[in-house]
Amino acid sequence: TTTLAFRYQHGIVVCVDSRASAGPLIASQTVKKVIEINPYLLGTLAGGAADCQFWETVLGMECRLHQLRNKELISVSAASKILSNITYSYKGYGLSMGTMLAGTGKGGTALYYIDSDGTRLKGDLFSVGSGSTFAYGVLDSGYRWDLSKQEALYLAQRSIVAATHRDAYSGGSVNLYHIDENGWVFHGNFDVDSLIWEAKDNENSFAHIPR
Amino acid sequence: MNNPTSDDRLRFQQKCHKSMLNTGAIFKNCKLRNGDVLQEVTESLTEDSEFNYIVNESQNVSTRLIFWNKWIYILCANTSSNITATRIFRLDDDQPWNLESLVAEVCPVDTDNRLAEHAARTAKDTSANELNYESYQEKSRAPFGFAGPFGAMPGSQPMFPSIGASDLYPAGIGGSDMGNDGGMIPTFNHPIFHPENRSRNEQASANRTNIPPGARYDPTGPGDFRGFGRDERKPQFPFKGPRSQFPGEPDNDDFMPPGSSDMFM
Repeated sequence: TTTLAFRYQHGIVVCVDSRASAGPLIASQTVKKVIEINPYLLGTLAGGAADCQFWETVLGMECRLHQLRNKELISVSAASKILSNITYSYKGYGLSMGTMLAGTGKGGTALYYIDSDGTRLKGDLFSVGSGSTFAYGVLDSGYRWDLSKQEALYLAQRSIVAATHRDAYSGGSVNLYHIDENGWVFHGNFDVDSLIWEAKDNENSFAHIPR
Repeated sequence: MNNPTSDDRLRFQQKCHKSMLNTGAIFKNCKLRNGDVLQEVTESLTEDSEFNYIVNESQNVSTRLIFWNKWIYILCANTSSNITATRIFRLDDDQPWNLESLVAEVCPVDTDNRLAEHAARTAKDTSANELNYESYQEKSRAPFGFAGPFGAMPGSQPMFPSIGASDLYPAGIGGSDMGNDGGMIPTFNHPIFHPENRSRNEQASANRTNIPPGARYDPTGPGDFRGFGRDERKPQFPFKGPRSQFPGEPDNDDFMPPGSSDMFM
């Protein structure tokens, strides 16, 4: 798995791969690793597929209940704390999750990292999963706060492509999301096979791959 | 040791008394055969003394020992609620007696209370005899997880390998995938699917699978023939077309209905 999200001047970009492995098999190349918690909140999925899917769905219910009780959107900060409280309460019992929560709500756009150890970190740039180190390599070299929206979306996508190339546990296609004050917008699903050839042609990267 | 001597009998009474105290019962008094009541346990016990205890601060519990052939019978009665129970031990058995279940039988309380008490007792007991040590071990053992640089609690021993570690941690810093082959979806090799390897007591049928009879089963991958011929969803009507015996027929429930991923529809 490779997932990443970063904040920049126009909001947040969230980008993930789509491969799920089960032992020696690739179980699926079309997994949705971005979980649409509500129109304002996205969660990403790395680690145990069931753990992330289930607990982020539970989080979705909690966020909806918060909205009904308090007549206002839950803040990303509060939502992330609900999730980290859950994972911390199960610490040592084998949950395997590395997740990012990105969204907008009370307090504006925000990005949090939560994992099954109970860690909860606020930040501007995260990458999570077995391919995260490869994604960080591309991301760190191209990231600036004042990226244009176009540049930001491309950087995120390009980082995932790099990771899918080097990490056997990442692959399939790229799912791309953008978040601003009005909520998230899906920016498409792209097969990494075509993306890697495009990158090679357009920017002369991946020069080690023969045509 | 068919006829225990008087000394032996007194020794067993002391053992029974200690075992009762180990369950958390509070000693109240000891009634001798001749009617005398002792406020503390002394050397001058006689056979067939009746020991009275207070359990859970309000229940009065009496115990008595009966010797018969090779056995010792512990009679236990809750005089507050008239519930009785017995336990039988062999005379030549030198193991410590665990009377927790006996006390629990005559003094039914809600489980949470008892667990909390037990936990508190275990924590307090510094002598750490074997029994308590074992229960401590059991509590700290996480059912899942891996012994790696991340995740595992100090002192905890995971019973199962983690699911998803190789999908979460970059190569080289993750934990072992022993028994699961890695990946974010568990394989059939994962020990959670093999209870028969953990406990011999369970009635693990000696057949090839752990699939309960009548359960639906879809193959987990190529070469998985565990579901062969066990498709219970398709009723066998001889005149209504052929019935496939081949595993891996599409499961009509496999995919969610269109639009189901949109929680706002």
